[in-house]
Amino acid sequence: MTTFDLSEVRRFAADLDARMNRCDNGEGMECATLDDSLLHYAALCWEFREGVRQWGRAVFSGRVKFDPEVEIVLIGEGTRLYKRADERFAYSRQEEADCFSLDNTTRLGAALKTLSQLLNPWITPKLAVGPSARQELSLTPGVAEEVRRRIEALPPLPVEWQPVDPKQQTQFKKLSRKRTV
Amino acid sequence: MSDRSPVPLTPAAIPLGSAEFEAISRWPFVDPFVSRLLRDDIPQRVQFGNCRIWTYREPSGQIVGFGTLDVCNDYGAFTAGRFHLYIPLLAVNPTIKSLGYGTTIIRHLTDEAALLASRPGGCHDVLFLDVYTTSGKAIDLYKAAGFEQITPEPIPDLQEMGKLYLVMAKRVALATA
Repeated sequence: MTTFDLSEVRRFAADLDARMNRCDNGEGMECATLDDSLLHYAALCWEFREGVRQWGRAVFSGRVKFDPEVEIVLIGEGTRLYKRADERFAYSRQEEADCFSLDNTTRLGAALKTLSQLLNPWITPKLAVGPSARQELSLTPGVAEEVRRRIEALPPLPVEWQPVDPKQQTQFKKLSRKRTV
Repeated sequence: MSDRSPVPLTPAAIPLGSAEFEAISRWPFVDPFVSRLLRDDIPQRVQFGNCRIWTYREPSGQIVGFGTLDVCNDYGAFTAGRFHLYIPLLAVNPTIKSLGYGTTIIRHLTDEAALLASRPGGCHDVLFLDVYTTSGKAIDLYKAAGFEQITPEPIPDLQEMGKLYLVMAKRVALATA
């Protein structure tokens, strides 16, 4: 999506609906097997999430004006998608318990968790309070150059730098090992 | 750069909607701008961006402050469009006497930023923040933590009646020995 106006968002939602229907009806090869259908639903969840995030950022930064109708369409689509993906997930878990293991159950489980976090709590986007996201700096060429020069001149962390927090120290040791390999 | 924190605090990442987030959202900040940032911007940065929130507890278990760190493109004009690290907000509980908690919090956030920037394929290695010129104590805190003012002159915030702010930055790349 680029403009996030109501007609574009409706098309986005209708496209997701159509792809869910095609999958559920066994049309095409994308959902030829149960495992394929899990991957298909996981992809739809990620795509929906990315669409909402882009819309949210566009409103937050002031590039797009908030439209409550768009929000209604997105909440409705997200709720429908979650329900249908969750049904597919539950079915796959049941099948797995009976006889075999599916590669994409974990993928769909992760996608569902992320989608659930997006829907609960649902955050209504609005223009940012802080200036950095909503206000483009209009600097003269001379000032912009001075800013770049100052950023270039920022020194790196000292050679002996180490994080203070024990969890961060563990991460740092792992990263250091990777850097030396 | 400031050295080890004067007071040991335990950081914990918290999700939106948690009891901890609700608790810090009710803190009575003197500057209402802080409350607005916390209630309006931070949830959006989490849901629509890559922001994380930490609370900081002192050994007694009391939450004494919180900090946030985002990976975004807000100052992409200075990073050739690359995503960079950004501190949208940090604060100490206004009802308690701070014992250098701000220093501990900014150090933790800076360290976290350094870890993120040093990952393979990570984001730009400059950590940004902005601060209103009226927040003298905060500016001192950031300077002590190694942040430098990168905008030569304060910038008027057009949505906040022209209130002036500074953009500050610190490189969090690890030095090569």
